[in-house]
Amino acid sequence: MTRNRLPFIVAGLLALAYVLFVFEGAVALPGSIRTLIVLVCAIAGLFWWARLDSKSSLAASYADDHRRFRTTGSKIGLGLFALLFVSAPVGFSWIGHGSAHLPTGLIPGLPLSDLWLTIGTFAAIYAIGAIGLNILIGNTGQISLGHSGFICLGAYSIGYFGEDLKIGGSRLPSIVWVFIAGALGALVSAAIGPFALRLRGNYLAMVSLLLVFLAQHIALNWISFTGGDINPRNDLPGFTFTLWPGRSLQFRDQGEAVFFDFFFSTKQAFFWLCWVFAAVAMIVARNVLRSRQGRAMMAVRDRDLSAEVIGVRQMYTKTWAFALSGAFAGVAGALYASYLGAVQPASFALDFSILFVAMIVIGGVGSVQGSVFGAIAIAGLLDFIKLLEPALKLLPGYQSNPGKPGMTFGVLNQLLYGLLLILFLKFFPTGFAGLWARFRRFLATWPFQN
Amino acid sequence: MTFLNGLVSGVALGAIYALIALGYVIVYRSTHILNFAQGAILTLGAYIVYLLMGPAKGTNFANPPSLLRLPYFVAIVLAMVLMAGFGWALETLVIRRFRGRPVFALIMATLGVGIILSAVKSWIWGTSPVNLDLPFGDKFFRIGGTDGLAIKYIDVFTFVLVGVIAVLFFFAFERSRLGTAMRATAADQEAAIAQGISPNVIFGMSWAISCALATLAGVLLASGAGSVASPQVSPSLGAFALVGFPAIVLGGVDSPGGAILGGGIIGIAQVMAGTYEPTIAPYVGTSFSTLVPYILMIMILVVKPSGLFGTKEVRRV
Repeated sequence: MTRNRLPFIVAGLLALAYVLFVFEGAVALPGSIRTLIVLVCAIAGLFWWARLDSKSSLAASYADDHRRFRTTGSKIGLGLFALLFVSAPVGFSWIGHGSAHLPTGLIPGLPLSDLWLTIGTFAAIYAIGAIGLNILIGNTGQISLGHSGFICLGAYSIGYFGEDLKIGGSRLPSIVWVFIAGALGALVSAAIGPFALRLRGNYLAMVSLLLVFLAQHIALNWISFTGGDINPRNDLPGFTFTLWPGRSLQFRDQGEAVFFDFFFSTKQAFFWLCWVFAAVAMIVARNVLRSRQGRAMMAVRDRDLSAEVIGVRQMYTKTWAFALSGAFAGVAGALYASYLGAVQPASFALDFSILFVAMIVIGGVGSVQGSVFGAIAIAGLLDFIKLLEPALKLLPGYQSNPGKPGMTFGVLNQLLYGLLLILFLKFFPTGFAGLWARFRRFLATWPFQN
Repeated sequence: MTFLNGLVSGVALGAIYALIALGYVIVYRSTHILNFAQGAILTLGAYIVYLLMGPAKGTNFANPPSLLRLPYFVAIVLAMVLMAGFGWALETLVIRRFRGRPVFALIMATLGVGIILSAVKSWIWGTSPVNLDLPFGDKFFRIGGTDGLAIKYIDVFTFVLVGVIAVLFFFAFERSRLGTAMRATAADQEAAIAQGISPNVIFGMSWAISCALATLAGVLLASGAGSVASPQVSPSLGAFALVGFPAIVLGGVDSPGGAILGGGIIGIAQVMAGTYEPTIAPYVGTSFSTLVPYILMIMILVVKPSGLFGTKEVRRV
């Protein structure tokens, strides 16, 4: 009995402490102690959520398996995450219309600075690409290192469909060219499906290298369209969302976005936009994986021959998986190019593909949430290191001049990225998603460890 | 004359690709790992040569660190020995921990090793290129008069060296105890263990040989052989190691002879494409020659998936 109630009592006490000392400011405390309280509350909240989420997390029936939210905890967690993402660019001041009801310092660190908003936006874009790649590698078992080729395709496609193409003198709506980018990615990627039928494992990885080089070659040489690498195209369209005729939300052109009477910076607006796309991508991926097609993909991954024996068409399933991953990559590329406004062919090199594969390894192979965790981890890595600058100065050969011998942010970033990859592969092959599952299981069976 | 000139640099480039591909095949045969870290190892090897022989004379200001000032050939041999030791250590400390894991994990592990190695490289030497004291420079001799065929000494050196290494390798592979043990392990690991062969030694040896070959390939590229890279030690050398993949697919992933032939074909095809592309097909773009190896790879995979000399994959149900 006490075992069941204890966490709730602790959580309640912590919430009270939070409200008293941090939120209401009833007792004046130094900042560091406030931060400590917030930290303890955050960790306690995580435990509480994991405990709620851990109840009956195992599917015991088909109905369970088909449910979108299997536990109360997953609903609460999703709601909290949604709240966090909605409020991240502005803090919580939006609730009281800035009438100082809810102070901006409710959660330390919010609203995010422009730097962290940029990182968050890239994390969302990477998450979309990583979800697509995870469907292909994690759920269908087809190793591809060609993902950056499709992102390149999506990125440049908006140069034509968003900027050059004019129908009756006006440009296509933004939402249309994002989906065109996805469709193009799907079409080109589906062409790889038949190759995957004959090749597997190492061979497929080698063949997929061609995609990267082909995309880069075209981007470098189709100078009239892409500008090559000397004079890269910099007129890629920002995002415009038409609410009704005469009223539209501009995401880049005017330097700020307008939502009704609120003014937001481009960075804030793009953060929301990209996370909305990421959320849609997550929902689509979750649903696809729960469908017949998703089960077929996993059957092909586990043993393609047996899958065929039970009536799964290998060709169709693999082509489908490639098309789906290409579609996600295309959308990610379109958002990437739209956010940056200018892209160089050199940014879609093999390293970019490897970055996405690293995300799914660190996040969790075969898990949709894992891809998002991985994307956030990789996108935040460099700037996390920048926070550690005082410690970085102790490293041998520290200097701040990139290219010269010695430890710079870039080098340390690369070093940690490689180490993280190797260590996760060796010790946590299921990534963050697997760690989270283990944590939940630990809490669910708490006094009885397994 | 253009054709002959292209053929000469193509053969030299092909010889380097053959070295890289041979390294891949040796590791693949014994451990079934595609070593995606080869590019970083190749560059590291070239930097180790720099470490041992120092910068070119007259460029002494603000050069990245170097230890000794050994002659070119001594430095190469010593670097190969050092890198062989490094390869053994790498296999023992890192790669061995991933034995028995799925293909995807192995590929990612080697990629991770590659990322760490290039980070360490930029930590020690930075990313700007450095010049070596090259005994051949870009000196050449001509056959057939003053406007005859120009052959660079480094190309001849590369071709002869790789030829000698290939002959030595095949002799050792077929005749020596170690070579026989390697072939036995590749054919049937359990049977090899039953004969008293330690697979750990074989795996370590294959990584050691592969790293030594990669070092040689790296320093030859950095010496200007094949006329594809500027004759400098720089991080961009690693990109050439990827061309080893098409080479081994062309020759058959488990055939050392195929690797050498595949490397040669790819090298010649790449240089020929680079030579004739501007006149015959200017519309395909100037960097088309970088695509040629991969197009050849796709073509051979469609026609004969096991490559020219590879054993056909048997799938058991």
